[in-house]
Amino acid sequence: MPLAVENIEKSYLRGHFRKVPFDVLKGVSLEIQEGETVGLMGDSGSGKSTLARILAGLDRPTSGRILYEGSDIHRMKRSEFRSYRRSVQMVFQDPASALNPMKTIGRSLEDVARLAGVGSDGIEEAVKEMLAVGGLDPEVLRRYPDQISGGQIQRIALARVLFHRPSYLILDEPTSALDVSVQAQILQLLRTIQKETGMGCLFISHDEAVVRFISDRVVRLADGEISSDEPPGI
Amino acid sequence: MSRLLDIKNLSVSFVSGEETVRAVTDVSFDLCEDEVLTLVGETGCGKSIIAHAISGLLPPEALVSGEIRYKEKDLQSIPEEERVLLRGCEIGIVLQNPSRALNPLYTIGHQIRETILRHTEKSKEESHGMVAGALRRMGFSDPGIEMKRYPFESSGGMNQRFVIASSTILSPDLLIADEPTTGLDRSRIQDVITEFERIMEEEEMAIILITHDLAVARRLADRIGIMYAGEVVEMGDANRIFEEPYHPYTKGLFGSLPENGCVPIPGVSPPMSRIVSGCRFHPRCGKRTAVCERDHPQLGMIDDRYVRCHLCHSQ
Amino acid sequence: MNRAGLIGFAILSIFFLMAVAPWIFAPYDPYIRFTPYAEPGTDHILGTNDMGHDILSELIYSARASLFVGFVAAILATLLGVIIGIIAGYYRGWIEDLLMGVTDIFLMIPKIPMIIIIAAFLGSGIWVLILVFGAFSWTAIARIARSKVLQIRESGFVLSARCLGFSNRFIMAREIAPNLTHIVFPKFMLLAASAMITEASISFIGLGDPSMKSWGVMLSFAFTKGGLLNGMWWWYIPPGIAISVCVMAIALIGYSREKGADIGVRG
Repeated sequence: MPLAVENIEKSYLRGHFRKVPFDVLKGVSLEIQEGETVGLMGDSGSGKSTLARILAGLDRPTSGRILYEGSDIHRMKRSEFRSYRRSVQMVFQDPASALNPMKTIGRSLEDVARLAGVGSDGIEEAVKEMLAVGGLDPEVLRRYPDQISGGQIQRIALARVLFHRPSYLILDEPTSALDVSVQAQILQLLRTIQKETGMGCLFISHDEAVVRFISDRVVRLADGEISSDEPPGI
Repeated sequence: MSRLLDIKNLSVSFVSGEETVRAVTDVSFDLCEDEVLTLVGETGCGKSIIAHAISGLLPPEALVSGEIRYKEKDLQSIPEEERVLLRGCEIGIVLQNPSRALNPLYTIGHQIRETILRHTEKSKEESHGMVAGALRRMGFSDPGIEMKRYPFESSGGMNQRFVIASSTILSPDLLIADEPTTGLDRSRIQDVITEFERIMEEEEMAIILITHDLAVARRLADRIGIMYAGEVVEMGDANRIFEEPYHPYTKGLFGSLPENGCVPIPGVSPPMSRIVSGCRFHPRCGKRTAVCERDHPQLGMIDDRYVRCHLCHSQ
Repeated sequence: MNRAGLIGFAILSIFFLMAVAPWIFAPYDPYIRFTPYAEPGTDHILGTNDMGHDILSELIYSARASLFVGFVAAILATLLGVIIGIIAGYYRGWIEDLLMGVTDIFLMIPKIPMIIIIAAFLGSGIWVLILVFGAFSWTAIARIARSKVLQIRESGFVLSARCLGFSNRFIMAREIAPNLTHIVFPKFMLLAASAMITEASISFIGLGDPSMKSWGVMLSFAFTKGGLLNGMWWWYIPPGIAISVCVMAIALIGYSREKGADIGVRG
């Protein structure tokens, strides 16, 4: 079942003394099919991060609906919404704050396993699995985020969110802060994972070439509205 | 064309505790007037350090050896006051993190005007006009408003353009730009590129452009230097190198671009504290031989460029 | 920690040792009565007070009460402040408005007069002091914690934790709170110093517990029993110095981490 965005609007109140409403999203509709990668492009201020956050359940729209398996996520019961949350995961841009700086990598991975209900005898196995998904060396487990590279951090972030086997993955500029060759590694990893799991992806980026490489369809957002929705082209 | 900048055997290292980090090893190149040299490489390759070394902005713990000659003057041995005079007037510097380069207590207009008033005899009205012109060229449609802004009121991208305007406004002879387009939207990057192209056409300014954005390098560079692990591995005419890279790292770098299929280079960049033996790239090179693991290759001329590779020289 | 911080740590450790095991340092039990009003000499390095207690022993045994009040009150205030700050900063909305409003009200209440008033009803004693200090000193920490939380809550790892489905309690306690340590620690140390001085002040004006030995109580008796008038400096200068040195040591530790407390700074 696709993940559908129906006429989402989002406005904030801006200003210090007199609050003025500011429309970030003005009626956005799109659909993401399973197994499909939709690239989302737009300049800063176009609303793409806001849309991503709303899809991930981190923010509520001012109006409009998000439909998952046919139901409006904002009308779901708490348990249903929680299960929606699990099936739509998000990877963020800035590697510097993608992981808790006070926790070792090992701890960060264990927490995710424990959250999924893995008992203490299964934790080691779960962590190994996450390392394998991310293509990481076990020696990274003892390290803190400030001791590893940006590429490794994004791999860990990916491994963490994939443990819950989400149906959809939203990536908000996941490789924008990475070197070109590292970006290539991460994008290839993403492609492999997507082929294996059949996840639907929303890939947000400002880089034309990257979006063209990874997406089946490209949606452009400008000033809070969709300006085009078509295959990547040449 | 005379040589404006002459770098010979520049090495920069940092000592932290037990480890010595060799950020830059034995880099030599020169720069002529009106030439654009782009230093390209990934995180940790040392390109930014070179920019800081030329500007004289390295931290005091840095150990520097080699020569940096600007118009025959050794930049490292001149007194600080002279260096300060050079900066802004003859040498323009645009560094990363533009928001830090701007003083939060003064308006943009005031800060850019300061540069003019400090180094020249122009009047306030004249400088006002110059600032407005520069801002308009940076893509700001209403310079009057921008000049009254404070840095915290503008986005990083805007601040970046303010800083570029401010360092080029006095038409320096040498411009050092460290990642001037990082963090900007496509349209803003275009504005910056257009402005650099205008500068290149209208002024006789030598530019050292440091970037990891290969598209920008391709648009602007006359010559390009590819850096890896603190060394120059390939340097020569930009168009030629883009068309036909010789060094395996350069090939790998271009190959990993999304346009070329995102073919990754296996492995990771080496930590700068542990230098491998032989060629620094050999652990990741598919074509390595015993010689590559043993002997450190020198930078030598092949055809129209310099390449640091045993295999390239043996062909 | 820089060098000044290490010095402060060394000094404070000595005081802590005095608090925990005063018999190691003190020549006598402070309650034994010797000849009163003795001047400093070989038997009694700092002389004796009006009850004949050895002053040096008194001084050392007093470390316990002063440090206890100082640190327990600071722990209480810090816990309260951090909890309120995290809840306000994480949930935002009306919860934040309410908690910050309450914070502003508490900020206006002066601590020492409040302690005096409450002591008048509940009687004096160190627990009144600790509880009142804790109940009224959490505001600065709450403010700082909240402002830091506003920043942290937008980081990738917190947003990710929410998406992954970690409970709010887990996120606040295990993801956000540890990242506040760098900012909260200096404030905690300074609160401890402030609490110690408050205890000394309260005891000095006679609202402390007279049966307990603390530096403030020593100062109080030094004045009321005529120490100042009779020029018996060994009654009032030692406790004054003790308080000052202890507070200085705490301040040195509190300011010892010069590097900014940005998220991502672990050490």
